[in-house]
Amino acid sequence: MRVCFVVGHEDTPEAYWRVLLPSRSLGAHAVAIDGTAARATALAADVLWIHQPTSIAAADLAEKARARGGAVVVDMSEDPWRRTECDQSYNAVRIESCERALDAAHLVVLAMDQLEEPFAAYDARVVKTVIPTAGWEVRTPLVPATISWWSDGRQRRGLEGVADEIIAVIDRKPEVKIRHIQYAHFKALTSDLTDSETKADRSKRFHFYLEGDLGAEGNLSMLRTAMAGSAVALECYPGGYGQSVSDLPLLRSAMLGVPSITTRLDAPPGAISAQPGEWLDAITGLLDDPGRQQVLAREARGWAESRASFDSYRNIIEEVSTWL
Amino acid sequence: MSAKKPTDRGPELLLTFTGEASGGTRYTWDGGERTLERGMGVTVATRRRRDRLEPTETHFAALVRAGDAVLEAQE
Repeated sequence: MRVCFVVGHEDTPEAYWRVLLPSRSLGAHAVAIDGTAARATALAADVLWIHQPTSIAAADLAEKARARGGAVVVDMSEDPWRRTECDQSYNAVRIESCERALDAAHLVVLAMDQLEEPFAAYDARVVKTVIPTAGWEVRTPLVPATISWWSDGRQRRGLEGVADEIIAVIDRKPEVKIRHIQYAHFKALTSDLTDSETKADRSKRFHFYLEGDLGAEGNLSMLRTAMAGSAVALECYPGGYGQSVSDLPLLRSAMLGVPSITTRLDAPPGAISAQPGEWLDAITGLLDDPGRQQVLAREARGWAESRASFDSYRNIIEEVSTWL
Repeated sequence: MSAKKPTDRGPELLLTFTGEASGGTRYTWDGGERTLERGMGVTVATRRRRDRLEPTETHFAALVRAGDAVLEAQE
């Protein structure tokens, strides 16, 4: 049986995790929707698995595959109707395309339990994002302590609500630095400064990583190396979007044995749920308590290791193959 | 710029250059062209053949303050 995973839009976040990794594990094809011969490869498959089909081409592909008698699985790792809460909203064409693909799907798979509600109208299963253990090694916490932020660009709003608290943390702890800062974060963390010297002093507390010509694997390697050994990782979303969006930022940190602080209400093992107003105490409390860091680090790693199997993908493929 | 011997991974090397931004350099970052602030830490990574290192160093030298960049071996 031929299975083909498809990246449903050129700027789809998490395509590496939801398309490339499972396709490798299952020995399936993987194509980007705009890739050469992608359409022909995809339509030759018995099972078409499209992640985030928010493009006209993806919707067309889903409908055509279904018309040809193939099984169509649509994979969502966020609530597309709420994206405006964290970033620029999907425009009407992307939403319409997504809904067309969902209507063409035999089955919808969701990255989080919390996505079941917005997709209640569809026959859906939860297939949580998988993280292989290979290459993800826990490093002894760095001294001085480092805070990290690895967000995939989906946390562009919401930082304003905690920026003052993060500034207070680095003011109290002049040795602490923050790694992999995004522009949206950096801007919020320096917008109160106009004097160039003061701004330069605070800028020295942040480190950012430019993704060059490395490709997905190379960038992942660079960032994994950069994040390992951090005392704590941060994850901040405003509103309800963050309650249901894929937990990949937490998962990656957890596999490195790095505890997280998140605005999610449901924090997984090894992570602390903290809302704006609680971040200063949450971060400093963790930085000041290496023993608690160790406990959370072990819990985080254990949780991540529980997500290292692709069996849930195999189960879905088996299920839909019976429909062919 | 100083350089440690990078790890040889066959014909190409995964290299990261780490330094401190000198400020004012515009660079594509986080989906848009941004101006780097003076002082912030910067790491840029690339895959290059060993015999093509020089252009990369030249490129990065424009980004960081001379003397602060360190070429680090990676995995």
